Amino acid sequence: MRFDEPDGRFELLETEGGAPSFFHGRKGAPAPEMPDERGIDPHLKESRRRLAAAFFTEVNTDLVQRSFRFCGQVPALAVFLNGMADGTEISDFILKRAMESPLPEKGKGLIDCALERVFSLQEAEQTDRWAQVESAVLEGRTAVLLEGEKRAVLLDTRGYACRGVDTAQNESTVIGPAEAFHENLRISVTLLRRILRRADFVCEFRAAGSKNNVKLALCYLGGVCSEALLQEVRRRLSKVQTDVLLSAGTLGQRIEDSPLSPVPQTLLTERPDRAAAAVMAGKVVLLVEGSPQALVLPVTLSGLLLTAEDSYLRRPVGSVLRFVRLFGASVSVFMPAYFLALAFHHQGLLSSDILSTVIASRKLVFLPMGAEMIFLLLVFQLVREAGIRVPGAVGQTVGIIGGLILGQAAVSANFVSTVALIIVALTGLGNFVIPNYDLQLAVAYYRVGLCLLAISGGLLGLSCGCMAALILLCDQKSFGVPFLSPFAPKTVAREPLFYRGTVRGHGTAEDDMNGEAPL
Amino acid sequence: MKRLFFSVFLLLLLPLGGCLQGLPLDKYCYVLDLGVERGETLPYRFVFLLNEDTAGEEGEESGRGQVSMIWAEERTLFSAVEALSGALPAQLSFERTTLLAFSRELAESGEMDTLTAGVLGRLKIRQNVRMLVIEEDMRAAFQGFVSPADPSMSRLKTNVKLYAEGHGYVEDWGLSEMREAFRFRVGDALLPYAALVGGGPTADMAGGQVYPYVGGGLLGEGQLKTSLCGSAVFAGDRMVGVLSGQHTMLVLMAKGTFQEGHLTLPQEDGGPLEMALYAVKPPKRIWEPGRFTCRLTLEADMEDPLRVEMDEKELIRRIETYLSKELTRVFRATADAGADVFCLGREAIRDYATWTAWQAASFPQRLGEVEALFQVRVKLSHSPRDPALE
Amino acid sequence: MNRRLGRFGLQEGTAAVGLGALLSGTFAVNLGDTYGAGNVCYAATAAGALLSLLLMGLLLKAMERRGTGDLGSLLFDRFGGLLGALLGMPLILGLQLCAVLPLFRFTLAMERYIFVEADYVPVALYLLPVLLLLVLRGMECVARMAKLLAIPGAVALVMTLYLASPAFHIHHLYPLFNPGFSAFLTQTGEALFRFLPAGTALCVAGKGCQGQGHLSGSVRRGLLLGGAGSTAMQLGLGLTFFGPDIAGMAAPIFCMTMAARQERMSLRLDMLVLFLWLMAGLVAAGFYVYAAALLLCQTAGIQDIRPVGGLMVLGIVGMLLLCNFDSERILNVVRLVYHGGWLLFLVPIAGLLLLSLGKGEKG
Repeated sequence: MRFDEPDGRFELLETEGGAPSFFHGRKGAPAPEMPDERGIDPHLKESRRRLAAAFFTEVNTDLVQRSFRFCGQVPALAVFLNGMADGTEISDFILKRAMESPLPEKGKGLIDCALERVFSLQEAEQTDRWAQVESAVLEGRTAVLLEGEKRAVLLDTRGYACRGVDTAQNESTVIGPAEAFHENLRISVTLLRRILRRADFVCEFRAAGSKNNVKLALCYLGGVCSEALLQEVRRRLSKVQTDVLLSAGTLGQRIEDSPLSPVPQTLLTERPDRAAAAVMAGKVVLLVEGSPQALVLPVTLSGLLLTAEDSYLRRPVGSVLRFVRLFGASVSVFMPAYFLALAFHHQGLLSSDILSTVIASRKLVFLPMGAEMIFLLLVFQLVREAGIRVPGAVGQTVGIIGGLILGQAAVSANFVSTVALIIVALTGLGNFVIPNYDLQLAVAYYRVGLCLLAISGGLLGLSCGCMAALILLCDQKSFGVPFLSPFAPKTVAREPLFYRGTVRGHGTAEDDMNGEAPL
Repeated sequence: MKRLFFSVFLLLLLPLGGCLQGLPLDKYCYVLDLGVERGETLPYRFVFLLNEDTAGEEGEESGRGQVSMIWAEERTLFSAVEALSGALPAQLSFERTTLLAFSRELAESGEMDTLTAGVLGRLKIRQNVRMLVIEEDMRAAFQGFVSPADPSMSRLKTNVKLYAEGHGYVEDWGLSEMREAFRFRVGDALLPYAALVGGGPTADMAGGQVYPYVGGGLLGEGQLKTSLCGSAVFAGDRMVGVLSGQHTMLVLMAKGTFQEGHLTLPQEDGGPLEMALYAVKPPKRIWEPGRFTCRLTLEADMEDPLRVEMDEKELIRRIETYLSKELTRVFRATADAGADVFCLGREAIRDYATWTAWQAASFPQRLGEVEALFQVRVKLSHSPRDPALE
Repeated sequence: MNRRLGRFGLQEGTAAVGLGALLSGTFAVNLGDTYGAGNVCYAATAAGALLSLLLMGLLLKAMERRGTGDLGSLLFDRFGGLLGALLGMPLILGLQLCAVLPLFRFTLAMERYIFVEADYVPVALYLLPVLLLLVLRGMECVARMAKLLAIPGAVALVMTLYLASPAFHIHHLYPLFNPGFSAFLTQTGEALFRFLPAGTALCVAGKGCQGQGHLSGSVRRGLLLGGAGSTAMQLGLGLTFFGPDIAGMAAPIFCMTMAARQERMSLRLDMLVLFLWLMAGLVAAGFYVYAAALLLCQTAGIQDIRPVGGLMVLGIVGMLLLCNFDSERILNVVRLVYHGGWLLFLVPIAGLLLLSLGKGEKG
């Protein structure tokens, strides 16, 4: 290869027009896409042209366009996506039946006849909108177009490969059901329906509003869930316009109230029992195709700190567990900041023995105390992130290396003090007690912020920081429900945060949901 | 608007960073105890007992605190702190100071009030710091308190409290209580009094024998041993004498702060009788102008009942007579010195309508004219003829 | 219209009034003049709370009778635009002053006893962002914060009394009723300045309350609880120190917790309790400032409360910083506020009552 010649490799060059502006994203908002209002063309040739344009059929061989003669006479086209649709169903119940059936008598439409007498699949519908044809094919259904007909038949032949129902990985419990939601929307809905065997359990299926044509199910109890809440959820869902929607988490971000707030405003759960409990409490559950989690909304802080196991254990034990969890969460948020406040400004609050121990442990440590704590908190996040990202057994090894060997080495090298290490370790333990992953991450923001305030202002800074955080949480709402209810504002709660309520009380919807009627 | 709000908010946050001048805890030397005595060249010598932390060697317990003593002669505590701060590797912190000791000489000169006014707050010395009067030589006394087992003297300080509650030989006094007694004279201070063993007074102002109560073989490192041996009696802000432990106990009985203690009852016809005394109910204190009546109800538990060779009634009579007599003697001795340690002022002040009238009356100066009557009633928990089996 | 009123219920309203009354009743006391000659403060506090309860009951009745949901509307209804606005001014000023006084006491306590090396100004500036945030978030947020901090406030009260209880001595209350009955009456009048603002502030934000019944209930319960709490605190203070001693203290409530010797030195709860008080105090101050800003908006027809609230918070901080200057002129102004502050509330309220509760006057 000669150096004076370009190597011919692809290079992405940003043109001036496409360059992002200095502060923001690309200049100018993209023009809104017009909805496809076209009807179905009676000529199969035009339909083929449209399919070729939409699916790039010259290179995209996934799209199968099977030509055949309906009832042996009428030219027809079966369109489906290879792999998404079940081939056997197409052969046995569409092609074979269509070719062998007799032509209907005059006066009866071909499409009606096909639906009534020919195709023996359980789900079949007709449409006159071209957009629906494309959408159905993308889902794995088969569209049958007939020459001369302005309507098409859409047949449910979805049959793509997927895994079986698995156990919950991130919300494991000792007692209670183990199964988790599935990527397949149908299976997920079925898992919910198996728990909620009620006639008023409604699943509204609708497009999620993304270009990758994902569907979602809006699940609630009709007559129990607040109509205002439903309207609001529908309104926000209708505003979702995105190129790609891969998970329920992405959808949650698109419909939440305060995008800048660190605390989650929707609950992502992989447990059908937890989602079912939320539905029973008058909440809305969103299931997204391709996402093995359900999105529960609205949520409150107390709801985020609950686990499914709380209800499965007896009341005294469940209450103790809950208390331990709250203690852990408090330790996780406040302990480093409280220690720093005492160490920098209020040494009198520490006993002489503790003072001696801390001073002795810091004798040769060269990092300043505040920097030491912040550094260790960052290291903790590093170890945690590394442990999550690397696969299974290696992840545990990373945790052990990070926690034990690195910690020991850091102390031996007088890099950090043992006391700071113990405090960060306790903070980490407390952090893992918080049942919600989003909330675990959110707590880190508050922790570091409070640490900085504690260094600069001691308990005064800590108090002011806590107040500011509380004010923001007080003001926050999740789909109209105050985030700190049932405490502020006071509502009737069947699941108090500090102790477990009676199981008997589970007969009514949550007060803060403003449900239509009691269950 | 939102952007403007956030900008203003962030601007407001800016002046907050690091402005409260906090230093991390390892940048301080912690003063555990502070003693003040008369200086040789300058008015006062301030003695500081510091918590000295040494990193544990291999195999040793880490963080074991040791104490070291430093002192400076200066005119004020502030200047002493300034003088010493220059010579120390870290700043002095008084946040952990829990004992404040003054020499007898300063206590008698009435300078304690001046020395404790104002400066203590600015040094973050707490209002409830314990008070102590030491016979002489503060440095020797502090050394006598320290032992390897109790470097911060914390056990000694706890002992003061425990002794106050459990034996009544000393009374636990804090700074704010002491200053209140100095200022308002509604009851005078009775601070714990300590001395080097063998160096303290042998008799108190009421003629009682003084001997050490705390210390002895329990604490102390080296040759010096310091012990608590009674109470320093104050009349206003001046110390006017010492009361032995036994006499302090009697004062506490009359004040109502006595819970339990030990009494040695001398006998003319034999050796002394030892007994434990318990307060059955609070004393009934009746004040009529010029006359103070105190009714005490106690329970006595003989230590060696089989040795008692008299009937129960006679024994009770002897105990009651002894206690009444001693109480009157102590009252007279302290009242004559102008010290209201029995806190009659707490009752007497009720006769006055205003503060001005109370202060004009100079009640403590007229204490000598007060007639005191102590009526003691004693119950025996076990009859000498029928001792209970333990 | 962006007045950030929101909605709040009985518990939130009660907590807001209760915290306001408790904090003012405990901390907004002119120590020098009130305790200098003796101690009737506890009795005057109780009497002031009861009198305020009576006055607020009448005011609420007047509001109900006239069918006005808040105090601003009642002022407008009874006095018309200009006079109503003029009579609203003393209320606004009074509410502002009520916000400043407890904060001044806290700042002083922290500067004197906790952050000894720090200056007064940085300590005071720490409070500014929180107060600003609280006021700009509006009444709903203030009421919820009050509800959340009602328990820490109660804990602070109980802990303060518990920590000080070993130092309680009945003889500290003597000479009993020392400054005399006239002083008691004067102090009762002054105590109105500590309790009327809390009830008035909720009446100003009355339209945010869920119903007139809840508004009356909140004011009544809040004043009763706050009055009882502050009476207990003043009594506790009186039992711990002699009156003249209290007169010279910068932060008697903090000194009170330190008066008794605690054996558990590792748990210096007294300092923590002070910070609980501070948090409750910030909410109470936020409540007053918001109410003052809202009243100004109501009387002046301003639609957006945020600039008004922001300016008022800056005013509060300015006053807080001014209080620190030890000049005789400022001290005289502060003394004047303590002595005559109650008139700022009593005059408009009395005027409203006279015009609203007369015969045949129904809305």
